[in-house]
Amino acid sequence: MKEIKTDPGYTTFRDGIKSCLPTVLGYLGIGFSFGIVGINSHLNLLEITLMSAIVYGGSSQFVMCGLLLANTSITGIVMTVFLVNLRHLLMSMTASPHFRDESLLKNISIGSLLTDESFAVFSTTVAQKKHFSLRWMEGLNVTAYITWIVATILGGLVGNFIANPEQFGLDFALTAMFAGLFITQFEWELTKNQKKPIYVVVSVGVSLYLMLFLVSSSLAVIISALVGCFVGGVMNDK
Amino acid sequence: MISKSILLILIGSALVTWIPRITPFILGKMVKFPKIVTRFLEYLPLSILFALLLETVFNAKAGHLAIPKWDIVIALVPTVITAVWLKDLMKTVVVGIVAMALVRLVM
Repeated sequence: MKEIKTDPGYTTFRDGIKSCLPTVLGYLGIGFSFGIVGINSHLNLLEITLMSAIVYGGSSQFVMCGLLLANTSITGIVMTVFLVNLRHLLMSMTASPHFRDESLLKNISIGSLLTDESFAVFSTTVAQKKHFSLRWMEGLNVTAYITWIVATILGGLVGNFIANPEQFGLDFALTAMFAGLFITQFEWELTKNQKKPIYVVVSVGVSLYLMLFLVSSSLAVIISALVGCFVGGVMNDK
Repeated sequence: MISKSILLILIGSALVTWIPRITPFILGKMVKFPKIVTRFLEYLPLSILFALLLETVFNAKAGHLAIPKWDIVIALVPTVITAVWLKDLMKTVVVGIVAMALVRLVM
C-alpha cells in the first residue's frame, strides 16, 4: 500500500470527528424533525430508529413518512426511495477513486455511510488539496451516523407532544446546511477558476428548473447535476 | 413492536439505498474509471450541492411550473449572508432556523 502523507488535522479518527462538528447541528435539526414527523406518521420509536439506522437518507425518510400516510404500496415506496437516493451513486463514483488503495471492506464501509453532507465536507477537503486518511473519513462518517440516530430518537421521544416541527423552523436546517456547504464549495472553486464555477452553477439552476417541469424532483436533481458536470468538463480551464 | 409490512418496507428501502452507495466503491477497486469520467465528476460536488439547495426552494410537480416556496426564499437571505460573511456552518444553520421560525410566526 502506498504511504501518503496526510495533512495535520486530517489524519486521525478524532480529526474526522472535528471535521464533522460544523454539520452536527444540521443533522440534529433535521434528524429531530424527522423523529417528530415519523411519530406523527404513526410509526413507533423502534421503527423510526431502525429507519434512520438502515436507510440513513434524510430526505428519503421524510418521503417515506408521507407515502406511508398515503397508504402507498410496499413496491411503490421502495421504488420511490430508490429514486430519491440514487444521487448517492454519483457521489460515490466521485469519492471512491480516493480510496482505491484501501481494502474492499473499508471501501464498502465508507460507501455505506456516505451522505450529502459528509460528501460535501470530503469534497471541500479535496478542493483545498488537503491530504486525508481513511481514519479521518471514518471519523467524519461515523460521527454523522451516530448524530443522526441520536437526533431521530430525541425527536421521536417528543413526537407525541409536538405535531408540527415546522413552526420552529427546524425543517429549514436542511436548506441552511445545503446553503452553507454549497457556498463553501463555491468559494473554493472560485479561487481556482473565476468563471467556470459560475457557468456550472447557472447551468445547474436553469436545467433544474426545466427538469422540475418534466420529471420528479429527485430525477431533476440528478439530471441537472450531470448537466453541471458536463458544462464544467467541456469548458477550457482558463 | 414492528409491523411486518413496515419491516419489509425498511429492508427494501435500505437495500435500494445501500446498493448505489457501495457499488462504485466496489467497482473502483476492480477497474480504474476513464479519465474523462473523473474530469466530469470533478464538478459534481458544486453541481449537486446547488441542485439539492435549489430543490428545497421549489414546490414542484411534474407537468407544472415549479413555484418558489416564499418562506424559504425569505429565510435564505439572512442564511446566505451569514454563510458568506462568517464562513461558519454552525452559525449559518442557527441563523437559518431562527429566521425561518420568525418568518413562519409572521406569515
